[in-house]
Amino acid sequence: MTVFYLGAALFLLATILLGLIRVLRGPGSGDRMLAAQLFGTTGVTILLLLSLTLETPALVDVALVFALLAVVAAVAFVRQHGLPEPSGTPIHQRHGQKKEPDDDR
Amino acid sequence: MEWLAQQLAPGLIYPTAGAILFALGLYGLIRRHHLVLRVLALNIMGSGVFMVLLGIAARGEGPPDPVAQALTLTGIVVAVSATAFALALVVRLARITGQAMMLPGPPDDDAPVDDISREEHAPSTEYERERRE
Amino acid sequence: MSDLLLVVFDLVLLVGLLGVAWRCLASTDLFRAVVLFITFGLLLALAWVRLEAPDIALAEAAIGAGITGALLLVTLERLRSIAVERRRGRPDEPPDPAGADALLHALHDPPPPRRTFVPALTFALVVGGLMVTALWHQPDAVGLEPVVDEHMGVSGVDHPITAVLLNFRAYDTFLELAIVLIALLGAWSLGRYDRLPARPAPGPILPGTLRLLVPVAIVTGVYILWAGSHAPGGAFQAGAILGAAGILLVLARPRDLPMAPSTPLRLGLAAGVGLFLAIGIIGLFIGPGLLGYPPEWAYPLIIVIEVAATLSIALTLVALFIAGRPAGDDH
Repeated sequence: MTVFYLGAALFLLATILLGLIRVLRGPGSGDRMLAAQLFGTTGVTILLLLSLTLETPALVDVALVFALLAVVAAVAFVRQHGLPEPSGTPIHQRHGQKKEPDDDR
Repeated sequence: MEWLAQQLAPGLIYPTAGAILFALGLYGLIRRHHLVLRVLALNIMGSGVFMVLLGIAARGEGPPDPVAQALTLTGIVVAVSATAFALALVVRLARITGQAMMLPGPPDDDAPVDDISREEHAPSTEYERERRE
Repeated sequence: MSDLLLVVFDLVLLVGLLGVAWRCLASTDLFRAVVLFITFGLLLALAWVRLEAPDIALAEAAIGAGITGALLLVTLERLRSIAVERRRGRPDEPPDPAGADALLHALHDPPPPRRTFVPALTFALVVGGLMVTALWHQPDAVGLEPVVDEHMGVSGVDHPITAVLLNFRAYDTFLELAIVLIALLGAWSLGRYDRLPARPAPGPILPGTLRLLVPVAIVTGVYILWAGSHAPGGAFQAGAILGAAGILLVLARPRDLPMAPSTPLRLGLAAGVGLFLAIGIIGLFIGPGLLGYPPEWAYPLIIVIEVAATLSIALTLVALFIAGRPAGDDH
């Protein structure tokens, strides 16, 4: 069973790394933020799985805190971006260019 | 196989990664101009230090060293309050000078033209006007 | 098999951490850098778990998820609003309602000049290389674990980290509380708080969520504080959770920030340091020394200090988030 839990945790970690593509590419700030929120949920699951494999019950508390507080960044985000995507993001400014020259060094 | 597992023990690879994080943060701190990025770089350096501390504390058999962990906990709280203070300073600087960049020196020095941050800051900000007088 | 999987987990995690840190520091778009930094905090918490440090993981979860992210996002918002104001106020150009240009530059850092590449890389490589070499050649040491274990009986609590923080090395914790307070005084010395740019009145979702979340956060904070005496948890983690709940309340306000009346606020901010010092000085006369407690009194005294420290840390974090001293008490 331990092997199964660990394999699942590893798989979820891989999905986080895959999800990083959305954070890196964007294009909008909403896409980036939503990906980060998704990582929070995945992180909670990984913590619970690790808590079972490493036999550390305290990790459930860590997962609880993560699940509870992930919303703070989301609220901070929607409170400033409650309006449509701000025109200030570089993506919007360079609309029409094929690729951002310096955004992906 | 056993040799490899020994080389990849958490007590060894985590401190190494911590040292790399520290170096990475240092590199970012030197190169980036925007002060928010510099604050992030400092935080990443700090995380590298914490990782070295905790990695060494986790070495060997038995439970990890609680003193190192307590030290790191103290460090995290100090780091977050220092970060908040630094960000308040950045906002204050932006309010006075109009930008949250490191100012690249007096306007008459012979910095190369490719320094974009300097060009941007040339239009008359309050700070510039004060300096020229 | 599970050992092998753990090694793979470690390696993937560390590669992810280093990659995220690298992309974060290479971002030209500040918002992207901030989101990557939030992700970095999450991965860091997983790393602390692997290093058998659930206390640190708890603190990282509370601070990384609850405080730093919101703090960075609100800083970007402030920088953007400053840029808009300046853009509008420039006399020789027509005002630009969107302030697009200024916005672009406020949250955008151009790629660094090429001439700093070689020196920065050399410096970082030398420093990092020295650190790695030193770490690889460091002999294994037992550390202070046996010493702490031996004295747990007189500490008054059952959790070694709480014992170290509030008894064996109480002066560290005391000075740390002082530093947190000094950081706030520094922020307050910069002026009164900045009004955030006009925000839309919250729709029905946000208040509803908060009605549900804030009580749960408070209960969790108190639980973590209580857990600290025998399991991972304690004043810092609890303070950070309660501070995050306070930040949620601040964020929900349409425009003006709620500020407590001046005197109770200041008393609450100083409670942790003040009580800690008072109990510490009493220890000088009736106990083993400054910041020491008689063993039979250790548990209640630690609880009193922890409650006060939790309150102060939570209040200070919220005040640092607001940044700037409360309006209307300039004298």
